[in-house]
Amino acid sequence: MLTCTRRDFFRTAGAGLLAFALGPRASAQPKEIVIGHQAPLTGAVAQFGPWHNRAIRAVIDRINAAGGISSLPLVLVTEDEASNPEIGQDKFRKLVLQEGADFVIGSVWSATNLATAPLARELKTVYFPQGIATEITGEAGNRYIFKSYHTVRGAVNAGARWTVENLGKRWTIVASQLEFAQSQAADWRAQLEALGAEIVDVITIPFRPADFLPYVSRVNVDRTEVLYQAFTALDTIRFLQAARDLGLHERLKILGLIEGIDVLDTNSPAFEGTYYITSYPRRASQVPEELQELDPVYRRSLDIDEEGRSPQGTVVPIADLFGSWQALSLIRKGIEQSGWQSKADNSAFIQALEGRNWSAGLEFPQGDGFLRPEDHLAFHGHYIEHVEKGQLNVLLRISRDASLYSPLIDYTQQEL
Amino acid sequence: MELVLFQLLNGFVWAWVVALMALGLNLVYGVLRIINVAHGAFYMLGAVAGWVILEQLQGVSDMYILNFALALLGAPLFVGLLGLLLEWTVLRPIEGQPVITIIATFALLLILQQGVQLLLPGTQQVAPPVAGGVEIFRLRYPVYRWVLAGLSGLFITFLWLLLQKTRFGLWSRAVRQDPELALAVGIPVPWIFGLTFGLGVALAAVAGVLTAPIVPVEASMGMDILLDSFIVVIVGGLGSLQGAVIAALILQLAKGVFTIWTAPVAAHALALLLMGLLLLIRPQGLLGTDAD
Repeated sequence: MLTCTRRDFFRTAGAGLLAFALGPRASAQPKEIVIGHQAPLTGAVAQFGPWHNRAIRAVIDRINAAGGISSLPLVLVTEDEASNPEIGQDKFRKLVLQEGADFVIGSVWSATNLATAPLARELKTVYFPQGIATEITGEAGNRYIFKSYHTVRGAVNAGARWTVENLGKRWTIVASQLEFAQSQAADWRAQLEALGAEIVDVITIPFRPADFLPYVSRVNVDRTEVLYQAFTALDTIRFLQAARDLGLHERLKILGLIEGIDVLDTNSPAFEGTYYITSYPRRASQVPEELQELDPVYRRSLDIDEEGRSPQGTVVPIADLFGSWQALSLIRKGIEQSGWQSKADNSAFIQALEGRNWSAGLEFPQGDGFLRPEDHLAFHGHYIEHVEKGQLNVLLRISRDASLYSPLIDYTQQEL
Repeated sequence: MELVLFQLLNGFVWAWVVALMALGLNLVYGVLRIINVAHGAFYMLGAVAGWVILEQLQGVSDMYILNFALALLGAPLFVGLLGLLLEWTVLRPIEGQPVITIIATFALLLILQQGVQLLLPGTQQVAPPVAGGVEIFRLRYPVYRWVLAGLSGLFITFLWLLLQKTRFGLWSRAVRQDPELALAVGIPVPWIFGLTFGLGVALAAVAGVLTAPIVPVEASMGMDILLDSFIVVIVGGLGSLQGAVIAALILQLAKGVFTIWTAPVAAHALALLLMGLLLLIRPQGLLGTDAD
């Protein structure tokens, strides 16, 4: 019979626990690069998490098939942050401390990004948030944060001039209470004032209100020319339906960012005639000529068809996924250029990415881009799209320079 | 002026939905003396069942209005039968113990809500059977909401006829006044209990299907309207059906009117304040008798 004294038991258990606690850190010589994904797989933005995860997986598979980065294979670890900042923080800690993640690609939920940013600095781990609230590349961020795709302000700046000149000068802004929507309201206010347009009213609406009509009925139809809307997907449909029921579509131009509708089918009367500032055409036929060779490769690796749908027929947030795709491409560039071996080389990695330029190619199928050194923010081209007969059509392509704005902060002054 | 009319109209429409909910709650309380905390979950279940029926019918029939009508009948039938079963299995064994009954219905609320969350995560959208808006007196208002108010009124009329003109109604009113005497004169009281509970939650399900096209359909959708319904039942007078309708109209019209001057969230708070004042003036409720 096996005998085991209490002392033996505690000794063995203690040693086991210690080994477990030290586990990930104990292996100093890297055998692989661990990519953590803080993914919103459930909760308010659950429609985005699985797609970003899939995009990350696709790029990792491609990199590994070609022999990894500096001959180290990539390994993906995914944690569900449930579209909740507190859970997001816990999952970030878990990814870094327990799973040994070397780099973390963040949620699209801006509140989670803002809550996670201080942790990235504390745990000295480079973090690529996918939410678009402008604040993340300002005071709320730090030198460990890289925004591999635009922020709200980038998109607003890209579209402001054309929309004021072509859609109208008197604006009413209708925005959800959520961070990314309030970010839009604030950025438009500043842009519209700078362009000499008039803000008739700003109407703030709680997240998922029981009824949209009492809010939409407050829009001053006689004085407004452009109705700007900022909501998440489901609220966007409900807002547009309410607006249509009140006949606003015929009397005003309705504009928004693609982020509000990028998982929605536009083939419904509520979308007809509305305008969007986007960062990539949903439909392959609308992609500009110089990107037409890359577009099929991008779509094929994510299983997206020419109309922007998955094999199951759901609309894929095709533009949004460039954020995660480009984050991995940037990780590769940073590692290769800085000779990164472990997190001890993070400062060299960060400096290698600051001010990085890229041109269109398999790693950056969205087009040419630039990562500004001061606020670690990516700038790239944008589009104006318009729904005609239920389909998004590109009206205008906007160069990346139009989206430039002066940096809110200079991270290069921060210590690493 | 247009805005005033608009908000009043919108309040008026919502009042009928809340009244429908409150009537179910009140009916159950009046006959079974049960405060059904799970009422909001049955509302949600009605909307979800309606969505499921519409999804299933999508390939079968192209007539969306017909499909919607089927959902409007099928979902409450399903929820009503479920209510009958739950009254029999869950509530019957703990009859006459008010505190345990409240805990049991709260448990039902959690089970139904989490069950739906598990089987059907995320949020569904139901298209209205009639789209667009109509202009009446220079006021444009969605057609479906007129339909919603009309159908709610129709169901409330049916309920009234059922309670006043049928044998079930007569028996139900007898049980409500004195269950023991009713039993003594040969009324099948256990059946009246079960059917009343089923009918009460079926009314919540009707409200659920009717509002599905204008609200997001998801597991937690019943909570806001449940609170409004409780307020309406208490202010209207516990057990009083007419009181519930009147209180629903006051609450929703007040919300609408206050929305003209303040944001809708503040308007809701002001409307609740008004209901509190009404209760101070008439603690037994608008049409309540002091026996309750």
